[in-house]
Amino acid sequence: MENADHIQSVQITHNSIIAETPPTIPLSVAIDRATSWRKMITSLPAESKLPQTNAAGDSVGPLIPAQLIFRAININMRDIDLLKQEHPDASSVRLYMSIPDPDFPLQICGMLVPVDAQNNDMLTRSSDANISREDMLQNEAYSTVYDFTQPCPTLCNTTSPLFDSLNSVEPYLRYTK
Amino acid sequence: MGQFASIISLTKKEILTLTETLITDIPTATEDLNLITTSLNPRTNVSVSPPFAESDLPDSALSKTISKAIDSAYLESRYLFKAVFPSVDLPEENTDYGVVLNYAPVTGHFKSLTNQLSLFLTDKNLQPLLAGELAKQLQPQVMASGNTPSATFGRVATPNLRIVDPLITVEYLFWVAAFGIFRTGTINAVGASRYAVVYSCSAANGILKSIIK
Repeated sequence: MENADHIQSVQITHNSIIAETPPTIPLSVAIDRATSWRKMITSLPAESKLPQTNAAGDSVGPLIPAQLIFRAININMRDIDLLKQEHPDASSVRLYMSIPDPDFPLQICGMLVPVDAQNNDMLTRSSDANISREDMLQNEAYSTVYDFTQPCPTLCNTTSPLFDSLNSVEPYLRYTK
Repeated sequence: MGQFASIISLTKKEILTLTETLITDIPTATEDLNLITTSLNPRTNVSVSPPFAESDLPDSALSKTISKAIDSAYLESRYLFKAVFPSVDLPEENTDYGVVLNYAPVTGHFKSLTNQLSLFLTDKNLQPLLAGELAKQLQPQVMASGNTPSATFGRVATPNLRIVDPLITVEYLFWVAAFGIFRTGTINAVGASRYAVVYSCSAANGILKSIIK
């Protein structure tokens, strides 16, 4: 019991620290990071068999079109609430990148998976002796892999300075003059 | 903003013909339209048929390319509406679609978009007086999208508000728009482009309730 009490005490202390110092970064840093991401993506060849190179060895192959630069993943807050309700024992959530349709390789979506206190993905619900392995793999009712994210593009906030560094940051500064 | 070739006031054939007439650089327009079709492709099947899957439409290659792009925008706006507002019922007829011809954005100029949205909302027995507020939210997003086919969403409160202590019930107009700007040709020898916009807008009324604390 002593150990359990000790663990509980540590968790409370840990939570209170998190509450006081949220892991945010300055907006200017976020804009720089998003800009670097877009630059990196646009430097990638559009197809895996590329790059084609020129005599100097530089990549000249068709690059990913600017229209298709993958920027963000939108997640409904109510879905996060639902995930928290269904997995109160999860200590975090892991976002896996995925491509739902290989014919559209740049439509990247996220798959959210609850993660336990030992850093293990929680991929299925509590075991049930009557459920077959096949059902566990094929039936979404037994899966805890959540597919409720929407990528940008297409669901974007195109006026955001995180979407494009040329966008004004002013409308997003919620300060009182 | 441009002239709306919308399904509310034109036939499908007229929308395609008008758009085709406007396009002077077919290879460039085709390239952009194909990217719109690819980008706005919903990631799961949508339970409605795309509007242009009919045999009596013009059968030129360009016409088919335009109709595919509009189909994608239509399906994307309906798919996203259900994804973003799962509790709001979206009637099948509550989607406007078409092409904005001669697209020329001017910051803060919402008049033609407001007029079109007003026409749409009136046609679907929604609140046309909210068109201005909707246009104010949507127009900057379209302008800022540049060459990225995109979608956005929002809600506008209607005047229908009810308070039955402790419950507040507010009716909103929920909306989703999908759009993609494409080049139709060049204006001058310097190479400045002309643009048009494939678009689709879905809207429906819904209720949000909250408890007074």
